[in-house]
Amino acid sequence: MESSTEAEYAAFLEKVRRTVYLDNLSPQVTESVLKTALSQFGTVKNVQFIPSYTESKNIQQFALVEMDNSNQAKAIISSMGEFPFMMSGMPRSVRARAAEVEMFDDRPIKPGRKIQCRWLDPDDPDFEVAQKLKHVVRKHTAEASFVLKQQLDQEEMLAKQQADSLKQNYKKYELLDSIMADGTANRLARHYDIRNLDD
Amino acid sequence: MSDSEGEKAVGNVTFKWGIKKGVGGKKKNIQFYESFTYRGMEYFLYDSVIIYNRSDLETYVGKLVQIYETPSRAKKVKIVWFFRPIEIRNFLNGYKPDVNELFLASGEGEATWRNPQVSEEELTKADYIFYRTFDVAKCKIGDCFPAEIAGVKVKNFFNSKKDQALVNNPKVLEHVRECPGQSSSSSRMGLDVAVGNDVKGGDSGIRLSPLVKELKRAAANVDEPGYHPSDNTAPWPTSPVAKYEIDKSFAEISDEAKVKHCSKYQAPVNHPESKPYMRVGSLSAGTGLNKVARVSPEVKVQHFSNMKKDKEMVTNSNSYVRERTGKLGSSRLGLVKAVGAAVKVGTSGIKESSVVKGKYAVNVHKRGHFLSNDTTHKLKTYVDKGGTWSGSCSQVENRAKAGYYEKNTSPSAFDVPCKKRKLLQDENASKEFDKLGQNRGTKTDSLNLEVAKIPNSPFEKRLQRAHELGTLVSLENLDPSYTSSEVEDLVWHAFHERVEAKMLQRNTFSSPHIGKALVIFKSKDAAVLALSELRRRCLMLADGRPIVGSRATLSEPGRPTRLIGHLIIDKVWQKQRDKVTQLSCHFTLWHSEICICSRAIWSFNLRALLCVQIML
Repeated sequence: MESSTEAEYAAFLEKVRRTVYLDNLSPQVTESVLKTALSQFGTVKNVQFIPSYTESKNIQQFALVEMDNSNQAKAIISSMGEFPFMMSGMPRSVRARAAEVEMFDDRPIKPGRKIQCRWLDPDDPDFEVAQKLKHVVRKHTAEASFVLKQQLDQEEMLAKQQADSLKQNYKKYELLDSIMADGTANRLARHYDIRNLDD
Repeated sequence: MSDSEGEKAVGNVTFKWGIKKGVGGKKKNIQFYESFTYRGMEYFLYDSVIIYNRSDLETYVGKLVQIYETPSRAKKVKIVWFFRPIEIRNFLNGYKPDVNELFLASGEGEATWRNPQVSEEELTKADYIFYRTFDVAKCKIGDCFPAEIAGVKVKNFFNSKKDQALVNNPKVLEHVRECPGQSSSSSRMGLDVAVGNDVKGGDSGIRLSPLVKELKRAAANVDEPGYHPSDNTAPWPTSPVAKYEIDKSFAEISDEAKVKHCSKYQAPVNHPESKPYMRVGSLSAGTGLNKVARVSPEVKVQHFSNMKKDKEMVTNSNSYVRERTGKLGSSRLGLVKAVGAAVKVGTSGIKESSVVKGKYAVNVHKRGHFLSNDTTHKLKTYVDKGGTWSGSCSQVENRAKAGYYEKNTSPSAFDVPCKKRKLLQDENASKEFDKLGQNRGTKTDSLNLEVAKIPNSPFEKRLQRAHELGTLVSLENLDPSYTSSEVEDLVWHAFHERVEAKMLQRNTFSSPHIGKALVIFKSKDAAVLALSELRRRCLMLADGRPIVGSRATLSEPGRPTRLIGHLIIDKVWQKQRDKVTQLSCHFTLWHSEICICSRAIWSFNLRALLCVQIML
């Protein structure tokens, strides 16, 4: 019994080593997209999306992709670190990290682990400290979520900025194309005696 | 476009051809030169030069390997680049370069070359040294020099004897030096006889040549508001050679327009526009240094009519997409090419499954989105540190936990009415829960789930319902390595309530030290009771962590379908994809900054937590 759970856990750890954690994935990315995209690195064995229930503003997806062996996983991580890798949209690229045990939902229990808990009553000497700790934890999570929200706001701003500049450039191109297309440019060129406008 | 004949003064700059070398080219109408004079400085063939570009924050070091003029009076120079370590940092693979070390770009070649010697004092005087090559095609550092680089014999890359007189010339500001093999201190193999003539045999045969000719000083004196070369990219697809065109007429073209365009171009990438132009570099001044082969249409717009599009870059797009070629100057060109590939792959604009690999970091360098080279480097290393840090953290926690655990042989430990109740997983009770948990993990348990092929969708529904009914509780400050089933057991032991729990999986934004679980109680009362208990008293875990309970908030359903940061590109906008990819580098870097910030915050939090816990 013991050995089987240990073996199971060992197998699970091995799986973790072969798995890549991806984030910054667009909601449009599906399993098949991931599979095709990552198949250039090797065989994709399994794709699992990590659902997130509590983030409202953060609309990216996260996924765990299991590869054939850990070298392929490492290759993915390193090349995604060097080049921007786009999936289903630009310019925000996908990020890859080595997977960690806690990322897996269906992880087996660590063998030999016993969970213990106890209640502290108000007359317990450590009670005060424990209350303080709880307070600190709450504060930290609040801070973290605030920072996250700030980050997301900034992301939005940046995206908007980029979209704006892209649009502007597009307009310029449109304008140029239009004048080339309808002959205005050529007419003007002839008028001003500019040769070789098409170079 | 105006023509350029003989000597012409453009702005403050004069240009004059020097020694003629020969005539060549396909039609025998290209005139090669051995030297030219520019701005009062004479440049010879095989000189090393530093090239500035107005829009850049960094300079490039290269070697002139060919100087010629085409029949259309275009003046061109062929340059082989030296890489700075920062530019190839992705390929260094642990090799630690010297502070002033450069890498000579080389293509494929046989490694038969032997390196001449250099004396130590010359080494110390040198501003740059190089003794390794960077193979552009293979992206590797090589110790040996191939016989030929870019069709030029390698010996020409080393210092020649001819400028011996200038060695001690105090006016020479910078020297580029070559030095052999591994370390400067060790003695070298003798000179290869085949090398030849310009290098004398003996212990310290190499003389300096004043390779870089007071560029900075010259540049500093020049103040040309109108001028700047277009974009800085030197073509760098598969060959390490750049073709430059010295085009006098360039100055005629409306520089203001270009300036504007360029600065606008850089706008989204936060280029510090307050610094409008850099020093004008050696070859790039007033006469107009157009970097050749800008395939992007923006270049077209700028009337780079003398630009020769380098055809080889546009070929073989597929292999290009995968291949990582030299970093220096490639940037946009490479991007365009990669983009071109993707365009071919996906017929109409960007489809869902099209995947484009762009070029990283070079654009960032160039566009001045500089966290500065150092910072980007630091970014990378920090990320690694962060990773290892959290790794060691969990180790500490585990050890603490291990110390705390004791085996209690009595199966009914939780019945013992003593003050400290150590609750172990009761064999019987736990079996049931284990089954629950594991089955739920594999999602086939009929007890908890309907048939669920789509992960979590029924569970999400249950979550929503629980949220509405008020039975959803979130437990925080759990050990992150708990599993859902363990949490359920925990709740059972603490509250004697059967619940359904889900340990939230760690993602980019979750704390590495604090585990969180969503718990669905059977009834609202049970949930309320549990919450009040958690608040009134403290439920402590083994390592001294009190569990924090609160009402859970869920995300609103119906999220938008597009990721923030993904810009919609029309089919017609494909021309701009290079720019978009540039933006991506910006975004990526920015994003990684943020992640590092959040990691920093978490680690700070942990430290604070630990401090408080010490009081316990």
